[in-house]
Amino acid sequence: MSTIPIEVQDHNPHHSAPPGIKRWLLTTNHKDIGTLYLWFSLLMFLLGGSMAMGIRAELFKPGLQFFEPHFFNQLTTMHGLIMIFGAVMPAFVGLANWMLPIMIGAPDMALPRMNNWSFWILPFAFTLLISTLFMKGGAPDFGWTAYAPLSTTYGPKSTDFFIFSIHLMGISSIMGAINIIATILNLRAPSMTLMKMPIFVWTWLITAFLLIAVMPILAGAVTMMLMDRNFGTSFFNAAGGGDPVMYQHIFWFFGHPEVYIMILPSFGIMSEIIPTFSRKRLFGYPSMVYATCSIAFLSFLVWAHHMFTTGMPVIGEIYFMLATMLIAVPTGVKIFNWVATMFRGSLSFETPMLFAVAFLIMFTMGGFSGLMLAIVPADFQYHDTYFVVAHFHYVLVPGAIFGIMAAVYYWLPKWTGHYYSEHLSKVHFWLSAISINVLFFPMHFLGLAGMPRRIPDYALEFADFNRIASIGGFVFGASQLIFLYIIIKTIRGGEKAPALVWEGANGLEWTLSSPPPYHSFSTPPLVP
Amino acid sequence: MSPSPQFRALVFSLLLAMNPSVQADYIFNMTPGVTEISRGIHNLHMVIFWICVAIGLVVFSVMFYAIIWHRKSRGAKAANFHENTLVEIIWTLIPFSILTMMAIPAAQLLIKMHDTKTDSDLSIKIVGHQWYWEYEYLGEGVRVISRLSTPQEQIQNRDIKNPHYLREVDNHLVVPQKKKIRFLTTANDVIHSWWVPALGVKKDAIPGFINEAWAKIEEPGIYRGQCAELCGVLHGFMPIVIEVKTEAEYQTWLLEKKALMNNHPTIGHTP
Amino acid sequence: MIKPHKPLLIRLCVITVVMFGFTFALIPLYSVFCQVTGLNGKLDLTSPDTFTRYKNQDSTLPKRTIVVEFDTNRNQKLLCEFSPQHTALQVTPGELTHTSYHVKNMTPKKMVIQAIASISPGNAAKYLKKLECFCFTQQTLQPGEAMDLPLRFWLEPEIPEDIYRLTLSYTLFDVTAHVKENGT
Repeated sequence: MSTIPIEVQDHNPHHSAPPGIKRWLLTTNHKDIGTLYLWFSLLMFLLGGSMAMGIRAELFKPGLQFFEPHFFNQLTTMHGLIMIFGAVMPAFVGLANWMLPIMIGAPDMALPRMNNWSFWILPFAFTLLISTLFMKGGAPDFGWTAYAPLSTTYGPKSTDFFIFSIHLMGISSIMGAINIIATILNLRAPSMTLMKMPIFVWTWLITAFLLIAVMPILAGAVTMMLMDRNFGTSFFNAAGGGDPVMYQHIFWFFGHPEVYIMILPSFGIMSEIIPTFSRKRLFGYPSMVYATCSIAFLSFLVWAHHMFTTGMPVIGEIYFMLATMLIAVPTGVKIFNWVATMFRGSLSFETPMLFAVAFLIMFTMGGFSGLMLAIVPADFQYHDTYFVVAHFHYVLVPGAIFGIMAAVYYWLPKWTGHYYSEHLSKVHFWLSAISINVLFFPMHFLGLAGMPRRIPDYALEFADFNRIASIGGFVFGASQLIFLYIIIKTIRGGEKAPALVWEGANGLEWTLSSPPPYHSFSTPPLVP
Repeated sequence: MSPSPQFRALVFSLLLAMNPSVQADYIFNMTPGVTEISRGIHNLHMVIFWICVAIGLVVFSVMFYAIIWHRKSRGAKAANFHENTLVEIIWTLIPFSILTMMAIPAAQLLIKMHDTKTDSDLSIKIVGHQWYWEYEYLGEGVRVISRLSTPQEQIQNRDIKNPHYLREVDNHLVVPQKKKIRFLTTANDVIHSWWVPALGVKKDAIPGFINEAWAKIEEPGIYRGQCAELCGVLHGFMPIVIEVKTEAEYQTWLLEKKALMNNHPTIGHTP
Repeated sequence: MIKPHKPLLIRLCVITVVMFGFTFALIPLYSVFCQVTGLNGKLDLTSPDTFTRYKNQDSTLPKRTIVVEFDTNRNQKLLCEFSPQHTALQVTPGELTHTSYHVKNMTPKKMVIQAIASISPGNAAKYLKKLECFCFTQQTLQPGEAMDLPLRFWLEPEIPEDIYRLTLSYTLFDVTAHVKENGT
């Protein structure tokens, strides 16, 4: 079985990377493209993060200190867009590029040239987006959700650039997703059946389907926005028979699956890391797969829980409440499975595992606040307050971002051939894990006390918790520089890593040397 | 390297949040408000909160038990189990039934919030503008424009801030106590959202559309809220102040207001 | 053996294109959905309904009246007068009611206006039928011109029993620029 010859269309397996900038511009190698994606995402993470620092600085005390309200709104909008489309999503695509082929025994991604294209669109898309900050009238200032008519009739001139950059990001994501599906479905080693795939591959397969299902919807929504702004249509304009609330329906029909796009790959990462450091097989592999599928399916049925206050018939509100609460069931199953994997294992706490445990605790807390938000009457009090801000930052930062960081620490020795500094990385972990709670936990209280989100200045009763949150934010932001330093240091050198980087690890990627050869699995491996 | 101290700190701050004695300086929790509905919301919020805490305690205790006792450094040897259908079915069904139980009171309260069975005593139309609120007492011909009254000097940090900094307006929305008030919301330009936590009312004001909510306020007093939907540059600067008077005081106020509007028909008109 | 990519790619591209198209299909779907559920209190503004007079005495439904409040708004502080003839009326379901609105252009320019109707509570929307409404068409107002805009409507007797009071709200939008742009 393992000797079935395979044709590599694009390159000779013994050929190595061309030197210089051309290597990166013209590369069709999944490892190079994965690296590009990861660096790009780290850059965007630091950029979006510095905007967050600006926001927290302005909110450090009541009164306007640094920014005018108009610029503050631009900052919150750009922070959201950059973190979602620039940091989290490309990081996951980067991990997919690096890991999927070597986890399923494929020589490369299925469509290497398209792969190059889907990455190189991103720098252009984000240059366009960021350039709006320097335009007359300023960058988009209507929040990443871009609700009409604030974004249509009342949007700044730069909104059209925002729309175009969303189109580009969408094209990039869709091409990336198509590539991932084709790779997983067509290029698995012959003996790797679907139910033998690592969970990370499974979660990415489902995420990729979510992407091709909902990115076109976002593209459609912003296209309508573009037409309303420039071509005299009235999709969202009440005067012409349109409805601004319809924009919200369409947006959240994209937006809710989108939040699962940003968390499912993290679920996959957890399902790789926790068994490794528990030295025990993942508990309930099939139920993990089914739970992921049902989360993805349910994500299409709950969009209106983002808009309970727009005024809905009571029966609609009850339906969306029930459907939303239902998502807690498969999500709970996943948490229970991870805990059961740890239970009676032989645990050790290297940095990836620390991030995984922090993920488990804080993602669960984010899940709890999500459950609270699903209760419609209570949502009327929580909606659009800092409680919501706390909720989605708990699921996105200790959820998605900690997932990515755990993955980076877990696979960095594989990618570079060097172990990272366990000491420094633990400093990074503890600073991040503590400061993130100082940053986001008080936001629950702020929201419950009545502080709306997206405001540059606030009443005096909110001052104490905002100050605490800002201090947490600055520490969290600064700690990420340690992360950057660790990565650069590990690339440059360090303790040599063997093929099996972690003693409890299982999977094809650990059969390759660290770092793996430029072209790997030119002949499909045998899967045990 | 267990994260338990940090977790304990979190639990501690959660418990602290529930202790009314420390609420003098820090507001930790949602207001119970001054209407039957807002108290209902508060109760639901507390019930679901404690359910979450209970589930969290169970899950995290098991996890920390494993973290403490099943460490490799303690010589723990990994067991070999990796599935158990019965356990998996049980932990699917238990959350499911907890959630169903939770949904029932929530749905009941929701139906109550949508109640149109009892007729309202007065209708007030709320119009969101960039960036102030306009209130119209339907059928009375009374209109109140309500703008932020905090001076720019305080916002720009050139002056000491008022106790109700950013939550004070020139003209209050005055309503009677113990009357069912129907709030109709709409907007003049972009979407706004009218929110007063003490009333348990948050309703989007959408241009071209009309929405409704109601409240029956038990206690006279002054309650404050803010716009809760990003509506442009000064979104953070359009507060809501609602003043609840006794019926007699309210009638006096209404008469005065009417007289004022008859004498100066321009007052209160949209500038 | 590498499986051929082409059939899979074609299918994935079809999904993408279909989903993009689906976004646009959501527009008519949403209108239908709104009319069925009364979401947003959105009313059908395009055409009059046919009135078949109900004989209340024959109806099995109990005779009652509903308070209909008439409310007006001018979007973006549109410079015109806009007021209802009645602020509120007692309406018997099944009976045709006639009222009108007064509108006056306060600017020295020609103005094209479009009225948009909305009703609250939203679940009453599908029971309010209009025989004649100025919201079906755009109105052109010469500088200073005043107009009385008629409205004839009825409430279906099946209107839910828990509705005692509803508000019919009209918002005037200035569509002059829009009309010029489209040349209609």
